[in-house]
Amino acid sequence: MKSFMKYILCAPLLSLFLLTSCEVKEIKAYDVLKDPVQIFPDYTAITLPPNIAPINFSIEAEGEQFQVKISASKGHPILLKTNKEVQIPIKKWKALISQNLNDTLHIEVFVRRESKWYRYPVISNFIAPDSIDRYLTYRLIEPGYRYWREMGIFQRNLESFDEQPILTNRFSSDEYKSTQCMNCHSFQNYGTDRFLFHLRTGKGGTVFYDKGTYRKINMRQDSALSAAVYPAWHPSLNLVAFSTNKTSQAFHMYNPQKVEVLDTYSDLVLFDVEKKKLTPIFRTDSILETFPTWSPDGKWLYYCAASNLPSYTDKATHTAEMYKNYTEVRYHLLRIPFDQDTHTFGAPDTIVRIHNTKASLSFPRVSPDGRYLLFTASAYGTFSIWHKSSELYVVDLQTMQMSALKAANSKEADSYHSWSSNGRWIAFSSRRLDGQYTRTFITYFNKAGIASKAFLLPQKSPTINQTLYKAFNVPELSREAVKTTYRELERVAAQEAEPLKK
Amino acid sequence: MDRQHKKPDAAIHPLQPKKKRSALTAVLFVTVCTLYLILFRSSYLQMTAQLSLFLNERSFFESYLQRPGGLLHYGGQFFSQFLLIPWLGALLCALLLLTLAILVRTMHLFHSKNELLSYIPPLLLLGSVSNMGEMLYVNVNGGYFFSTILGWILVAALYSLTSRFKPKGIGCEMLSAIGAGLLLWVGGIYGIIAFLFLIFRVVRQGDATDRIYSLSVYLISLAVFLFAGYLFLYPNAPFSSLWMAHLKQYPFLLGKFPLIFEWSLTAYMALAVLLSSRLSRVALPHRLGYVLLAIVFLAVGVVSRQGQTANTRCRMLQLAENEEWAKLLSDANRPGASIPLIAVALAKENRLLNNLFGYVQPTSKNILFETPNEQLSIVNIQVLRNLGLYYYAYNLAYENMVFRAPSISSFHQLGELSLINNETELAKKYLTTLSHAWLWKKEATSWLQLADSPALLDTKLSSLRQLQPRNNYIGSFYSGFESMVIYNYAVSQRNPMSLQYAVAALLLQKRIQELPNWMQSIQETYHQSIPLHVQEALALKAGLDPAYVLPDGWVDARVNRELQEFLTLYTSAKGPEAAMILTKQYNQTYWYYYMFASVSSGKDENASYDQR
Repeated sequence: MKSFMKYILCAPLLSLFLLTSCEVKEIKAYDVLKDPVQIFPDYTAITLPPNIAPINFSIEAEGEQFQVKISASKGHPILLKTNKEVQIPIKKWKALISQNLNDTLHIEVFVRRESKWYRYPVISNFIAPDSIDRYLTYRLIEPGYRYWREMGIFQRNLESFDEQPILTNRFSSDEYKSTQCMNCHSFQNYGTDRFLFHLRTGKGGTVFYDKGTYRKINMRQDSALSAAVYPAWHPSLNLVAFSTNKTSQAFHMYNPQKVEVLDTYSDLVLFDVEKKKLTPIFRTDSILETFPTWSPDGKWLYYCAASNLPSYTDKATHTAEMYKNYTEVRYHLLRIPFDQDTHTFGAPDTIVRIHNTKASLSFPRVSPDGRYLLFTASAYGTFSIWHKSSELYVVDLQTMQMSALKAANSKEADSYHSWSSNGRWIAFSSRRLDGQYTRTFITYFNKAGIASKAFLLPQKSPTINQTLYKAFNVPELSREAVKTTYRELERVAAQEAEPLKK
Repeated sequence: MDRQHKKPDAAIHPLQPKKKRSALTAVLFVTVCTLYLILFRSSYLQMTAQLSLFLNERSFFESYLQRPGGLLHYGGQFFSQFLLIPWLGALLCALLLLTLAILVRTMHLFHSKNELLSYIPPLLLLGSVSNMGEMLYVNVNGGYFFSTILGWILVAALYSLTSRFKPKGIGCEMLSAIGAGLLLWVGGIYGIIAFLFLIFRVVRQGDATDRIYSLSVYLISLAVFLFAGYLFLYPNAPFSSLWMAHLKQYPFLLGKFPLIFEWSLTAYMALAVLLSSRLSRVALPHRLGYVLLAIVFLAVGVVSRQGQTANTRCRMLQLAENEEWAKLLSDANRPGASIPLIAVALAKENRLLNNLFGYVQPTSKNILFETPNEQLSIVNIQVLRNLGLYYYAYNLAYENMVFRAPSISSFHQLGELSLINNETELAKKYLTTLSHAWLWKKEATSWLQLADSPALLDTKLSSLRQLQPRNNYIGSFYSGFESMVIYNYAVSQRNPMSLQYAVAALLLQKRIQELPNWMQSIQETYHQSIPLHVQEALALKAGLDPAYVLPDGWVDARVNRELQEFLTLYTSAKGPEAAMILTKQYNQTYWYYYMFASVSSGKDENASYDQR
């Protein structure tokens, strides 16, 4: 019994010894290196949300040992003895950045070479006072052309590394048979009480979640060009504006863009979710209307439009002619007033004309305060997600001044984007890492309408960005997590779709 | 002292005749299986390795853990990588099959004198894995070659191990059921097979009360493991995938013969388990055992021709990758030879327009490119690559990776093509992944080093880059490649293959009216010696169109004379018998193709030029 008590008394002392022996001691004696350290992702000179997950990174330098110190003016610095892959403890990270809003975060990287410690120049990042919406929803899919196999819509908690599938296409259960495609998830007004996504092929349809009820509707109408495509949920009413697009795909023999996708015809429609009724907004062959989006007050519908070629009687000839002139197809930005009582539209009004931009515009999104209109500008066409020339722009709707988000843009395609509900953060798709695989980048958009240098969505292991052979499509920010369950959506997705009401 | 006596005794004591025979049978079995695979399936094994993927990475392992049956799949991928070295892969396969034979023997299904019958299941498995044929290319079930062997080994091991539990009782049955349940998670359908075999064992043993208890244990366990998997272990997997994983029910994916072999194996084992109490009392003559084995082995090797043709096709693909064109042409008359690869080899030797129909049946479709599903053809990637159409080759290789799941072959192709296309960062992504595959590390690392030295890379790839077109063309290759290669000539005249392919495509589309427009280019390339098939086509055009005057020197008198003889025979024997009569003498001519082959227009509706 005595010896047992001895062990009991020794245990805390032993634990204390182990803890203190594991504590990282700050390096005091070192030489300072001249050149900055290369880290991946590039988390240098960026602005961070105060609620973001740790910005784990890899040190791209040689050394026998590494140590990292993360500090700010308030709170305890984080000291890490590490290998090349730096994993920051989440609790310590949160404690540190939450105490230092509107302040600078310093990262010091130490490397030991030939028994001597060196320190790279300090990396300084800014912690913004504004939080980013907690959840980011995206689709993970190979950026292929015609085929897909495994894909799904996932939701990531930006305050941690937790990623949950909303639905994957494995519900069709038979991995050998062609599996379904899903796309275009959309939330109403940054919440998750209402959201939708499309299912393509097989038992296709559009799945609507509306405050606890699920519906799968076949959005194909005989008079429409196609089933519903790009969605925009009205900010307060149970209405969704969609585009309907007749799309064609072709391939470049000698052009790094590899693929070209264009609409030969496109229109806009309005869908009343309650009544299951689809009504046309535009039905014209001479104009290609697409990418609808609502103003935050719901009084305007913004969209992109381009002049179509004269209609040929033979559709194949029309398509061939479109491809001959594909670099000449350019979209400008318009809006149309919407009466929320009668659900009727007024006359269109052009916001940005292409001759001002010498570019083609896509994916318009109005900031939550209604002041800025964010869009993608590319050299031509509608498929900006593949165009290397694609860049993000904003128009100040008060002054009508247009400017590129220079600090956020890159040489590769920067395209699909969404605002956070406070209007201070933009999450967007970019192919800047390798030209093919889209990753989500985040930029701070300050009150003066200027965006900061964008940073890559933090991952638990930064190498996932290199090893993952899927693209992050359609990044959509939301304040809350989806309220659906995987199994319930799986059940709904496997059902036959209800027809539209005529 | 006694021990000292015993040891040398044991060492020099000859093997019991039965043990000696067992050992000899095992050695013979391993030798025959290994030789069979090395001699007849060598290229097939290497291609299987290239179409599978095993990465020495934690995230790779975790991705398999997330799906029902994933661990078995992972095991299959692990062993499949060794098939790249055919003798090693063949030996591994033979040893695993021997393991299965030993385990089947320890299941005590047969009379102790009938141990040869335990070699039948592994032989049937050999028949299945070595005869996938064309289905080898449908790689959604990568690692199949070994995962199926491992699955059966686990079933036999579980049965054999649980047969040894003594005394029998409900506890033993519970342990067996837990084993089968775990196997359900690890190996999907093999868990179900294990449950079935254990239930069969219960059915034939014990008294009625024990049987009811035991059956309840198995059925409850099956339900528990299925629902626990569905609710907790694989919360995003469909219910059916828990038991369907590794179930190979589709002939279009696996091929007819492999399925027959595997179904036969399942039936054989199920019957043996059900009837084991009777079978274990019957001692067959030893010779009969050998005869049975020989019959199954013959069925494996002879009945299934799929495997042989696939082996030829794989060999041709390897020869094309290594640019061994003469060797490739020497295989051209073997069954399974790839006609589009023969066409590439002919074009490389500048003989395409002279020998286009020399190696193929003139009515054969898919001469320049493979169809159907041409967009998923591995052969087409090679053809496009050799034509210098690297962006198209990349697109096809990418579609392959998406549709069939990533493989060594896809990372290798995409990495190399990205380097040629000057997309270094993208190339590094593929090559870094490739460097995590043990047997490819060296090659991938050397490419990665090259990617970091642009000057060295330019030097290495300059000859390949010279084959690229100079201008862009935009079109949908899903509507056919033939039109594309005709346009390709207009935009890639630096490539010596492009003219041959463009003219060949014109001939194959029977567009002989357009041929005179191409004669300037043909004459500039071939000078006085106009290629034979071009002469044949021109002579035919003149023969069919009396208004057309054939310029002097374009067609030899001999060709004109032979055409007259052909046309005389053709007009005298019209109808279905004409082809039969003319086959022997004229099946290597363009005329025969023109008269008897059916072709589509092949016009690309989205075609247009884009001057970069």
